[in-house]
Amino acid sequence: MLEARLEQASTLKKVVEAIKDLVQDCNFDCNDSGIALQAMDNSHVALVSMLLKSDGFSPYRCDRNIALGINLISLTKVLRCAQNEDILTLKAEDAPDSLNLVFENAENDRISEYDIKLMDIDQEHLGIPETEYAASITMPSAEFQRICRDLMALSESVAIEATKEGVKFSCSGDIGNGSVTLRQHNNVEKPETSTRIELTESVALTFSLKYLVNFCKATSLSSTVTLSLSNEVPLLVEYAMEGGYVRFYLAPKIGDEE
Amino acid sequence: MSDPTTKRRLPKATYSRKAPTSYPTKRRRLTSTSPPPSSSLPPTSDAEEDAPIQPSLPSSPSPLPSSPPPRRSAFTFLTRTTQTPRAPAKHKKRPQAPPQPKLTQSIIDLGQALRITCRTCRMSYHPSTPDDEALHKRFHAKSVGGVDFPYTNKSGKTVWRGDGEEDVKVLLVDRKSAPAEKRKVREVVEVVDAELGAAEIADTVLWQEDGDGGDRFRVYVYVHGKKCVGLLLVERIKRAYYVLDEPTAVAATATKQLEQKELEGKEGEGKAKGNDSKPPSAISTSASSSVSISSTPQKALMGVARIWTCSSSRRKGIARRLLECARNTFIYGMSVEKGLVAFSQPTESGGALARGWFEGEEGWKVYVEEP
Repeated sequence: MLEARLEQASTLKKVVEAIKDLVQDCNFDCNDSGIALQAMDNSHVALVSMLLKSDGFSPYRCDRNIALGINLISLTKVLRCAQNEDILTLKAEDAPDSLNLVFENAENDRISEYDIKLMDIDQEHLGIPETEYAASITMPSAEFQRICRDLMALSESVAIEATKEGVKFSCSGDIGNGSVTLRQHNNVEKPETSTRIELTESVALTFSLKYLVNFCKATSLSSTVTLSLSNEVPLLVEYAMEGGYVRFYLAPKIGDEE
Repeated sequence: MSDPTTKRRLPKATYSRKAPTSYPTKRRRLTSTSPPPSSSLPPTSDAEEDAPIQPSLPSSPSPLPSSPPPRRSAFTFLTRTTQTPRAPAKHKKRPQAPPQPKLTQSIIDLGQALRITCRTCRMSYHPSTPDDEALHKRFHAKSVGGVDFPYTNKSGKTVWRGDGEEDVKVLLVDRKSAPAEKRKVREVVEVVDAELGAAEIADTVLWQEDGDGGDRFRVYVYVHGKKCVGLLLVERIKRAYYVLDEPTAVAATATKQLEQKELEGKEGEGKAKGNDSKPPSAISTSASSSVSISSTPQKALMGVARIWTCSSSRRKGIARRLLECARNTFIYGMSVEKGLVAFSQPTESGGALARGWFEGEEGWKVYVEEP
């Protein structure tokens, strides 16, 4: 039996909103530590991994491990019926056919209840190897979103270059080229607007902007985003939130070796 | 295809190179954006050629002074607009596109299965290969929603027409039908064969003449609007075997077993074709979709070689409608008795259709297809 109560429905709304364009159907794996999701997009270029820790819920109860196979488009439809401030409760049996969602609005004493039919999704559990990244950049998430959108206008891919001086996003397209460079800076008053670069060696990799713009849908989840890069390894874009995270992995574009 | 590389890279590197099948074409499309401005030049030069002719018109002794002036102004206006973009077009050409390094999108490889099987249409494909993905998309649409079947009044023999508001009809296509129609039917038959896991029938066999100057096969297609959502392929047969009820079959020792092909979908409302003319004699009654048949052949006239409806149009009586149409028109001037109709090896849902249509678990006939 699963019962999880979220103080703010907006958390789940944002999470689902952020990943629904990447994957259509996926399993929400519920166990006593929280609700996790891991899925790869159809083309195997990107991977999303999400965790909502049990601490983020109050209360949280999950007796047995349950996999909730959900169509994210259906879930979005139901979650749109919830207001951001609603209290959201997820309920499911041990071997569920459906997931029950209850939205409670304290202000006008309204209780809405929805059931979503579940589906059997045979999804492999993939172990994501622990990686020591050569560069790790923490920056305001809105800034990252802006850069991706701006460069998207010029090209379909962006080169991310992390050096001691800073991080440079550059692209080149038919109409011309452009680049944005961010230097490390620290804002003591507003720590969330500072840019931190941790570097063991300089890295330069090229990625598809289409996917990065897609990842940026998670911007509202967190004020900062962390990009972790290493040569020959997928990029990690992490949006950390209170009691959980949404991580995106993106395979780079590589030059022909021949 | 990329298996060997993925295996090698598994322990450390977490992605492998993706098959560059479609990417180069994308690139090609990108670079091809520069030619259009140059290709747009010829029309402007044409307009320029037109323009000089135009001023000569009013100068010619014309008795009607009222009509030419507006015409001329229209043309000079036109030539001006076409001339203005010419100058920038020249500028555009100037910056030569620097040769960009070719990049290939790699994929994340965590040892996941690269080949997946679609649940609905049961096609297995590599979703990470754009070509394969596109192929699946096309097949999926045909399998689920029916095959495009442009219908004209000229084409074919309509053997039945729905009297409701919806535009539905059953067409008969045989050896004498128009080549375009036969091609279209061929396309549907390919989808059906793929879904049922049946062996392909060669074109020459499909439109073959039987010994007596008739057709060996006849195809009935159920067309809804502009889509073919159902197909029935019937053939002339002489012998068929009674299907025995399951308990009887266990008791009978001389029963022959027609094993169902594994490839078929459980939902496939149709039957598979048996490749081998000799049914295996081994008895196994465990598979629900297998049928047991009697050993003595019976007389039969019409054999149902394939029957199929697309998955979105099932449970609407389309297959039954097709069967009735075939029964009434298969032999000119007479209706084939149900007792003289036999099915080829049925799939699970094909068997269900047969049991429903013949109204009995047993006593209906199956026949063995000849190659």
